[in-house]
Amino acid sequence: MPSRSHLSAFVIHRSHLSAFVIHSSFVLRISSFPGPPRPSGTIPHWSAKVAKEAKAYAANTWWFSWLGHAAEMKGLIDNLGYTTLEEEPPTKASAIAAAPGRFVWYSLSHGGTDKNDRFVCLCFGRWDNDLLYPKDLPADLHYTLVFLNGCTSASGDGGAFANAFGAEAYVGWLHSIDNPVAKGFAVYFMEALKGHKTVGQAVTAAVNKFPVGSLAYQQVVFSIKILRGANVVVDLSPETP
Amino acid sequence: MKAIRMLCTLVSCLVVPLGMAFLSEGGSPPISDEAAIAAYAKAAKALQIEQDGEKPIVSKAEARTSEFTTRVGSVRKVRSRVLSVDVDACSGKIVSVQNEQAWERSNARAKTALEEGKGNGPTRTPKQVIDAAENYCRTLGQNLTPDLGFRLMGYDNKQGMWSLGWARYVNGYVFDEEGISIHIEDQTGDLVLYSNWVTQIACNTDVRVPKDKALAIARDYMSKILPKLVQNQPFKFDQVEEPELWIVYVNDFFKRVEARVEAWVEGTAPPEQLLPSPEELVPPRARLVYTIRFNFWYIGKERVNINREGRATIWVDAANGEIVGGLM
Repeated sequence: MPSRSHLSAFVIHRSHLSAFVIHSSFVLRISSFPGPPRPSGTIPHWSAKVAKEAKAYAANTWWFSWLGHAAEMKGLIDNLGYTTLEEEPPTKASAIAAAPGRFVWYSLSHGGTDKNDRFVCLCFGRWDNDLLYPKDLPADLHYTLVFLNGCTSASGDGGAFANAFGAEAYVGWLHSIDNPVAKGFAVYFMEALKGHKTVGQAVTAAVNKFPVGSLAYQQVVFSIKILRGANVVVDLSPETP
Repeated sequence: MKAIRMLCTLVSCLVVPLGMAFLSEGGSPPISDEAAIAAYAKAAKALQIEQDGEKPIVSKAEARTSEFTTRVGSVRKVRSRVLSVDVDACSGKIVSVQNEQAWERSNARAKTALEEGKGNGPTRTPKQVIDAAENYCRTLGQNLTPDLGFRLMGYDNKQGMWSLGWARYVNGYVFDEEGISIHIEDQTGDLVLYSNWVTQIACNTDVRVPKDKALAIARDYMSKILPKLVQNQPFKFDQVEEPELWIVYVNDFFKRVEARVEAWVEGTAPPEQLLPSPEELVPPRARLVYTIRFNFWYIGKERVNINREGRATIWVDAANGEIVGGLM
């Protein structure tokens, strides 16, 4: 359930210009987690990225509903200056093998939950049977952006995934989300990162692309969460004059 | 046989782009570059944006989708450094405007306010904001007629921006995917973002199927399709929330899912499925439906104690009980 403070954001009226009161403003929930531990003396990630080919990863496991989504996301991430590996569908093994040496991770998948409906793993594989836990990821990952586009990925062990990826910025969902909404949001979000926008700005821009007040809009506003890194810039493409 | 296949491929190659281009309201040929730029100029004038000689770039016709990804038309995108305008590729109607300067300004002001620990509005009354929004709608070519119901308004102090939404109603039923959104900068009153999904598409609103029958149809369908989706693993599902009568674009979602699951099981997923299906190339159809939502859970092959939780919404046509699509 959305928090009370969040609910108070909305003033819903069907009769035009009826009297209403503006409650406290709605804000996208942005909490600050401490950043991932970094070994001292390493090259700043930005220098590393610009010095070498910047690699990224885009995967789509919900093959039955959105064929081609991984390719679509690859195009958008490439447009940010990365070289993106796409997988549709990925397996647990292929995803783990692909994880090292990349800076952006995007995956559309089920979020596996425990008995208490807490997010604990990603469901990869042909029938979602390859369960990927934070502990499965290789050590020493240093991602600029991780977006686990699956139900509840910003709840439960979302923070553990953020740590395992060494993520500067981590975006996920607090609740279950309809597939078309998740897919649409991802496209808007990656597009909005262009132009050296911060993750926070891109999330806001993506939310604003949905019809205000619609079912999809309410799902997104109530559920999208930046666990960390709202001020991170992901776009590596050259500055436009 | 091979020749026929080649002919089909050739026809589909021609039909797909042409179909997309002609998909929009009216089905007339796409508007010219000049007409698209004229619409851009109209938007610039409405927003009082100086064009300072920069020639905007015009895209080819691109598909436009609804919030639930039904292809509802095509647009030509006109872009400059200061303004982005999407124009309906057939009617020339302005369907989206983004004021890049106001967006940047709003972001910068919000950042400064955050850094200095200051408040960030609002400085305007809701009435002032609504008046401004209505005025922008009018000047961009969309009057807020009585069938457009005011739906939601909010102020985001992190962005210093107001958000307003209207939805189209047909005989009192909401058409969730058709509406107007406006975002207005609080400090200046400038329009930041305008999006218009409203069409004239007709919709029959007869209700001939009682709610109980619609529920039974949806439950029956869930019990048939879920074993396929979860590969006959143990599952359960519950209906959640009261069914509501809404108007939607028919999306035949579950028909496509079933076809793809079967193809996958047989290992014959054809590459043609990556292309839009013929149904997606016809103008969208609107129906009054019962939206019936389910949650489902399944365990998966590994038999570990992990749920795969899913949600599915089934749309049952209120006039004839047909399942015309849904979400998952």
